[in-house]
Parts: sequence; structure tokens; C-alpha cells
Amino acid sequence: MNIIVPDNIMKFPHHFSLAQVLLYSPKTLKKIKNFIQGKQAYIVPGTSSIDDIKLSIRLAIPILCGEPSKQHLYSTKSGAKKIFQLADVPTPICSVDIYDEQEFIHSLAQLIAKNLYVTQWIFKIDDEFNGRGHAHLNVDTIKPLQNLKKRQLDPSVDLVDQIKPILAKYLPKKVIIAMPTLFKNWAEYMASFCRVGGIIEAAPTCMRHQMASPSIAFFIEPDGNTQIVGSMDRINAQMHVNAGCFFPQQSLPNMNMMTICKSIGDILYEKGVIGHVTVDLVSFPDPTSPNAHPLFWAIDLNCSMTDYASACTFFDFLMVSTFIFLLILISICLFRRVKSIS
Amino acid sequence: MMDEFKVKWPAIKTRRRVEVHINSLSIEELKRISMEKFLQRENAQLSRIFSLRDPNVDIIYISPFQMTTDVIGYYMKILEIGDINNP
Repeated sequence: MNIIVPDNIMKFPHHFSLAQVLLYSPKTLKKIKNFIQGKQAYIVPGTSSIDDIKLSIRLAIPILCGEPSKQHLYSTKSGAKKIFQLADVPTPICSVDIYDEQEFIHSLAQLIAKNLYVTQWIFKIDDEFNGRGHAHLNVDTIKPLQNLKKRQLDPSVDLVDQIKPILAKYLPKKVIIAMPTLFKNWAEYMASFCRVGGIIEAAPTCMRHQMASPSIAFFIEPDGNTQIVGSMDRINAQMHVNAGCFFPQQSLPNMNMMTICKSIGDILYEKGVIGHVTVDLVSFPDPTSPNAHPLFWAIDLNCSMTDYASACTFFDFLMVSTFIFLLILISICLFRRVKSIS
Repeated sequence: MMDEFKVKWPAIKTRRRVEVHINSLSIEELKRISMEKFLQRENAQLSRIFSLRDPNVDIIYISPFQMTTDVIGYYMKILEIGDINNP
């Protein structure tokens, strides 16, 4: 194993990506080239971009990812929804590809009118990650909406028209932004949302503590096979902001993870995506029978290796080592026992 | 090159090979600037080195900064427990 630091790392600002710095570090590139000369080698990237492709060309070795634009497209919130629909994976009620504030208010009003039982709506900026672009609205905190709910239960055009002005008035005050350090107020959040696009989706209608956030990491091999890397239950420090996770996931005990990974993996492979992928789910009790196996929705897709997926490699390694260690320990105990008997 | 890689993958994955791990967060510049501890985040996937559990795999890990000998020593010790000496 070789751990290499790009020779020009100190000459570039800290926000330069590793691929960019490596591209501008000729001595390190030469060192890598010498090491891989005559050997089968390939790059395992992080979040890939054109710089990673340039590196692959400079080193003349393949890269374990698809076209960066496609990897990025299907990692966006709107792009992921399209993959889930094609893969026939359950998703929450949602509205995708929103690029305009009027369109946002109209879509949200329509969603609320058609789904009056939903108490919380989540907004997500397309190209953000780790909850950075999340915000949510609790419908019950807006009194005029509560009154509308009580008065009229049938979805109709009138209801949408009544909801729209209420939303325009109350959204700036009532929306809770997950990362107020990034977006100080609703106007800033909306500007960012409209610049790159985003989605609105329903949150499960259950108590917060009844929900769980399992994720499954899998690997799409370059020949199209799908392999599970691991699974985990994400835990949140605050709403939408992940703080850690438990391995493996236990919130969906009877779920066939291979089936869901295979169906998503096959669609992604058709679209030209290969390499590491993580699918985020949300699990919640079945409202019709609370004691049955929990239900789930697929909510996000990440077409690159995540920190948790890489941690799975570590745990996998540790478990095998523990197993070998246990075998050795058992053998020693048995040997001593046999010796003492004899 | 990529087409050939895809075709040959079933054979490649069973043979001796070198994985060059470059965990670059090649995202939009504005996001990189707004992220705290960006370099540390790029090094958060150091556990990729445990791909060495496959005896056919050699690893080149590109690190965004020089790690201390303590950190490297810690990971080397874990590799040793897993029977990977002199990785």
C-alpha cells in the first residue's frame, strides 16, 4: 500500500479538490505512473467530475465511474426520483423539477389540496447533500390552512386557489431551514432553490420517533452486476442533519435488500452509471396495521462512494479478522483442554 | 479504454490489480468554499485502504494532507490484526 500526498498540495488554496491538485502535481503523477506501469490498475474516485476523467486520461487507466454528468444527474433529488420510478421503488408523494417561486407555490398548494392528511412537507435543493439544502413546513402551524382543512376535504381547483395566497404569506415565517448558516432566510433559500431546481415531498404521517432512516450501499460492477456493500441506520442530530449511523440497518428487518439494489442498479447501469451507489430510505409503521413490517420510501440516491459505504469496508475487514481471531482462540482453548485431559 | 475495462472486468476482478483511491470531492466551487474542514472531509474515507482484504488488491491512496505517524501507525496495526503485514 502506498499513501501519497500530491507534491504541490501546499501551493493551492484549501478549497481546491484533490483531483485538481493532483492534476497539477506532475511529480506525484509520475510516481503513480511508475508504480502502476505494466500492472492492471484503475481509479476509484470520490464525487467525480471532469478533473477525475482528466486524471484517468493522464494516468492512462480506467476509472470506476460513469460519465460524471450522469453520476451527478442521478444524484440530484429530481434525478433520483426518476430512477426510483423506473425501478418501481416506492417513493413519497412529490413534485419534482421546480425552478420558479410561483411554480413552487402552485405545486405545494396542489400537493396540500390533494393530500390534506399530510402534516409535513419537505423541500430539497437538487444538488445539495447531507441535508444542506433541506427545509420543511409543518402545515398545522398555519392557522388558515388548518381552518381550510376543517372546512373542505374534497380536492378542487378552488382549494388550490385559496391555499396559494396563504402559502405566499406564511412560507417565509413558517418554513424551517435545516442549515440556517447556509441560508439565513426564506428569500436566500428560495433563490438557491430556483437557481438549481428542487423538489417538494411529503413526510410520513407518523410520530417522529417511529421513523427511521436506513441506507443501503451497493456497488455496480463495470459489467453490470450489483453487489451489496453494506447497510446502516442514519441518526440525526437535528432535523435533516445526519450525525452518525448504526451498522447494519435494523429498521427494516425483513426487507430483501438485494432486490431493491438490483432493480435500482440495473436502471442506473442502463443509464451509464457504474461504481459505488448509496440509496437512502425512510421507514415508518404501516398506518393500516401498525404491528406489521414497516413500510419504506426511497428518498435519495448518491452515485459515489459515501463515507459510510467506505466504513462498511472497514467493518467487513474487522469482522473477518474477529472471526479468524475467534477461531484461533477456540483452537487454543481446545488444545489446552485436550492436553489437560491427556 | 472504458469499453475494454467493462468487457474485461470479470477477469480483472479475479486478477492482481492496483486500485488508485482518489477521494476527491469534485463538487461546485461555491459549495467547497462553504464547507468546513474540506480537506478532512476528503480524507474521511481512509477506510478505503481496507480493500486490501482482497489479497489480489494493491492500493495507492491519495491523501489531501500529510497524516501524522500516529494515525498511519493506528491503521497499520489494524491491518496487521487482519493478517496484512507490510502492506
